[in-house]
Amino acid sequence: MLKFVGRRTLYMVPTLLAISVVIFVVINLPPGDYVTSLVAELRGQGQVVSMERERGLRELYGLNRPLWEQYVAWVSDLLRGDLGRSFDLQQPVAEVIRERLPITVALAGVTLLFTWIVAFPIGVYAAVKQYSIGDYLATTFGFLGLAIPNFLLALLLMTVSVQYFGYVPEGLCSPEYCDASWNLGKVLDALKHWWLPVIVIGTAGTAGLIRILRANLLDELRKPYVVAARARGVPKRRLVARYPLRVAMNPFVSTVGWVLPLLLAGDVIVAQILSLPTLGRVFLTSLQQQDMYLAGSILMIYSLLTVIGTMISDLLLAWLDPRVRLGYQ
Amino acid sequence: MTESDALLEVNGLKTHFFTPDGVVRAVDGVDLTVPRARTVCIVGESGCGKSITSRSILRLIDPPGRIVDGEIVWRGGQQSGRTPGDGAAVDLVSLDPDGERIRRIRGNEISMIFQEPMASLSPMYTVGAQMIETIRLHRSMSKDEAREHATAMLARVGIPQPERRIDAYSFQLSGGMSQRVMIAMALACQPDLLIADEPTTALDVTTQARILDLIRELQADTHMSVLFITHDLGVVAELADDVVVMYLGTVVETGSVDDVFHDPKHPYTRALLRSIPTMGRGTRERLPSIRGMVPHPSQRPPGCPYHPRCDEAIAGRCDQEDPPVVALGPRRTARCVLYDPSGGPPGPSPASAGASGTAEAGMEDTP
Amino acid sequence: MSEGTPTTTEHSASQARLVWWNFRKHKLAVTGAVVTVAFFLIAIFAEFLAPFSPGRVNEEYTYAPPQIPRIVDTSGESWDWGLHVYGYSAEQDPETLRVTYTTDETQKIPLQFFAKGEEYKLFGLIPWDRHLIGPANPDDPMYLLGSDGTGRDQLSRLMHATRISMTVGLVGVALAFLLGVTLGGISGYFGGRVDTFIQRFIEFVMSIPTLPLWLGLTAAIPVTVGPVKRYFLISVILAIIAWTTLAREVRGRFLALRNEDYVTSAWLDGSSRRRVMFRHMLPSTTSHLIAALTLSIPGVILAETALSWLGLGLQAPVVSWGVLLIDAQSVRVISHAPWLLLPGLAVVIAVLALNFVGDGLRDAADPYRS
Repeated sequence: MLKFVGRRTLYMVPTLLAISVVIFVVINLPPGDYVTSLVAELRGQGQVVSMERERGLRELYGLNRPLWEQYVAWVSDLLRGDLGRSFDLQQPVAEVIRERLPITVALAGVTLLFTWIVAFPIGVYAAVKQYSIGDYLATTFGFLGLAIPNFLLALLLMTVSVQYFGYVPEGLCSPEYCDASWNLGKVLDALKHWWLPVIVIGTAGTAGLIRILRANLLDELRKPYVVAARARGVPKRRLVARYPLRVAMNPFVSTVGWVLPLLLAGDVIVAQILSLPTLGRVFLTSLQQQDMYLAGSILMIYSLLTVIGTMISDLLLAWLDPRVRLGYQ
Repeated sequence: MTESDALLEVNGLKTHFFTPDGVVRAVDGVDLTVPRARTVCIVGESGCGKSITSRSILRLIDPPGRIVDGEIVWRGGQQSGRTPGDGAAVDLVSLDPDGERIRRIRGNEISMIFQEPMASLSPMYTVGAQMIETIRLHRSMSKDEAREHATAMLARVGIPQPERRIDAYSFQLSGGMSQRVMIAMALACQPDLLIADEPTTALDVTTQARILDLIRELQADTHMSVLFITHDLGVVAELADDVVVMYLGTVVETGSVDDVFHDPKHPYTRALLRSIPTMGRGTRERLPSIRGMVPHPSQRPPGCPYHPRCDEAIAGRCDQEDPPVVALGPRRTARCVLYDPSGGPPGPSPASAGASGTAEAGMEDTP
Repeated sequence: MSEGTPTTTEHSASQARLVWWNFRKHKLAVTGAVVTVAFFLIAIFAEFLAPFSPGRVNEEYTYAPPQIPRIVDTSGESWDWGLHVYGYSAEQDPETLRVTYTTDETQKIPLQFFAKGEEYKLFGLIPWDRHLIGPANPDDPMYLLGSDGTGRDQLSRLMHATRISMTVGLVGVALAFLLGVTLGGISGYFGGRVDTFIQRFIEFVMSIPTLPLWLGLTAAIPVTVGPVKRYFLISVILAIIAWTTLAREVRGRFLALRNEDYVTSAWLDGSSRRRVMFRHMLPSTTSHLIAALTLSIPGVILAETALSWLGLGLQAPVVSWGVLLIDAQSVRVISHAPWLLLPGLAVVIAVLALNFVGDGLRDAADPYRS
């Protein structure tokens, strides 16, 4: 097991390196660089910018060096935790991320929990009671949840919230509670603000999980070992819980791997509508303004989270499934 | 044969599957008796309903399948302390398939082993965990006692190093080993009846022979009855006391292994026996096979299900009326108009109204 | 079995026919197929079906609510037959100065099938000026699904957007398909080290969070790029990520097929590698591939919608569902003009329909299972 963990951790390094190359390429894709747009902006304001000044700016930001040197510099800076400076926010990128990462991860974590809590019973019920009304409802929800773009869901829920509850849950806390210490009021306030982003970000993942869990469990329920266990007198409830469910749990555990990117992506979109203080919003603004270094760093953080998530789910999977652990299949 | 000699009696069992494409009458009127301490083989081609029959006994039929008619009389429960003949008979068909009573029968009074031993063990738990679970379901033992018992059972079925193998997973075992584990698990609670549903089909020939030897040996030791399902006549010859020949959901012939092999009555049994290759037959000679194909159970022909393939079919009779079950001697029946004592002119006869009734009447007449 | 019994002819039905039989049993899938075809018909004949061009602005009727077409006018003495809608009357809020339109039952705007309207070129070739439905007088307001903030007809815009959104899905998936089938096929056919390498590569691509990468790539498209080129680039970007699942599917099928007896026998017959691959292996995966393909279109459509909605995908004057939904960014606008969310409904219906078709195909693809 220890060897497995070690191998899996080592495997992350080349993956992250390769991702960093891709991201660096993306950063440098747009024609022109930050200085070009800066100069254009300054000229637009009627300032005179000389060619020397432009060149000076390039040197200042290191944009005149060959690409690979820029890459090496960027990566070694990344490793040192120096994520550069956001051209746009006039703030170190590391600081921007430090401010927003915890709340982003918290939101993703809560949503993941929500996804599990909702998907698990529904998926199991739908499979065990196949073709019941509950199953049809679950299946319908599964289809709808994957078909509705999450920004549309956010808009709809916001409209509902305004109509029936009389408020738009923008942000993740009301100003009077944001810095307050935890008390009942703050908890209620948090509930008031969190439900919407959690539902919106979590719906697609929940729907996907229900479908996967139902399909897997149905597959497993038809396996000979289930009949065999029943023929030995194992009671039905215990049978489902102990045998096929253990196997059908695999996708659940793997979710950490594939739901995490989904949650982060959802955050990008929802943060825009609900003005959440998460990374998503900064990421989007940086893209819209082609502040590619900030965007690249955030993309790197996203990738890191995803890779870590995948690793955790692989480890859980190995812990749960002896076939994976012992290297069969 | 006295009443209490019959451990299991299946009368007029009908198990149908209600699919969107129509009703599949997978088992359509099966009568059979498993006497105590004897081995009964159900033999037939694939799709004849032999597996469904065995699963119906343990009430393991899932929707869209359902037992629509018949009774399954069980007189077991003796080995677990009670005196022989004392166990009250119970009709398994009347039990709730998820209920407490049938669960106490499953794996305890009646055990079952299956065609694919590897797939019949859950890959998520060790062999031992699954055995201990079964033992503790039916016997009040501590975990350690159950583990000890499980190890002893593994040793009993000839698994080397049982103390180590008990912690193995199914995917770490070979097919033959897995089947031994399944047998050990099945016998752990000393059942009265072992149902073996083609347990050797998925195994290679040498392993097959060893497993058959093991079953025979264990049967001799424990005096349990065995209901063995197979399509392999060679296995039948080796193992059976009694034979039940099935075709398309019905029993066409029953009898002791000697009677059926040396004096087959039903045209289907005869054709089946003819198609076994034997040593010494002319090498240039073509092996006789039964003409035509087994029809799908949903397209069952009217009258005798075998008549389209039967060389002795009587036009106007076999293709119209259900053949009667004719008793030919003690525990010997054939379901064919050729042996119908009433003879009768072609056309529907009143005797065919209750096939199972005829069989029972016949059996009482004979002694 | 030398005699030609009726059962033998039944068993010789072609694979495609078996799949079709199975598919037909699947009611949802058939419904999905009908809806999908309808969407594509709208995409093809958008200019004719839409009453107006998507860009036609009318400042007089901003946020006009949908009109309900009526056949009979009962307001007069006698019943007056003829297809018509009611006109609008404007009302100005004295405080906010905002103009709201309501349908006015006293005005009657007659409608016409094959009405003369703006000129267009059908399929970009045939000049014509007839529209399936339109006001008898081309200057009368007709907004069957309401209008947007600049008085553009929502119905017409929706139809033109259908063309863009559905084709972006198709083009994106077609590109993804090329990549996926090639790499997946190679991986599954050769196996061994090639397979491991390609699998690692796919895993790597999949480990990058999809939407952020999409966003990053689209943001990298220069603002100055023209609409056609932008459309193409977006398709390519969508394909870059959609291909991985397809490749996995193809690989899985190929790996399974490699062990099939008929592939082995084709090998032993001395068929060339190419022949085994294209003549024997590919055809038997066709139905699976079509299913996988159908199932990957919804993802691309959803991605395009999200990208465009964020302002990073397609951009006006090109209309796609996502572009149309930009108008519905705030709760205020939505409560004022809920019909602006209709493109969202189109997205949901299209995605559902394609999913049903794909699921039905996948289930039907194995006619011998069950």
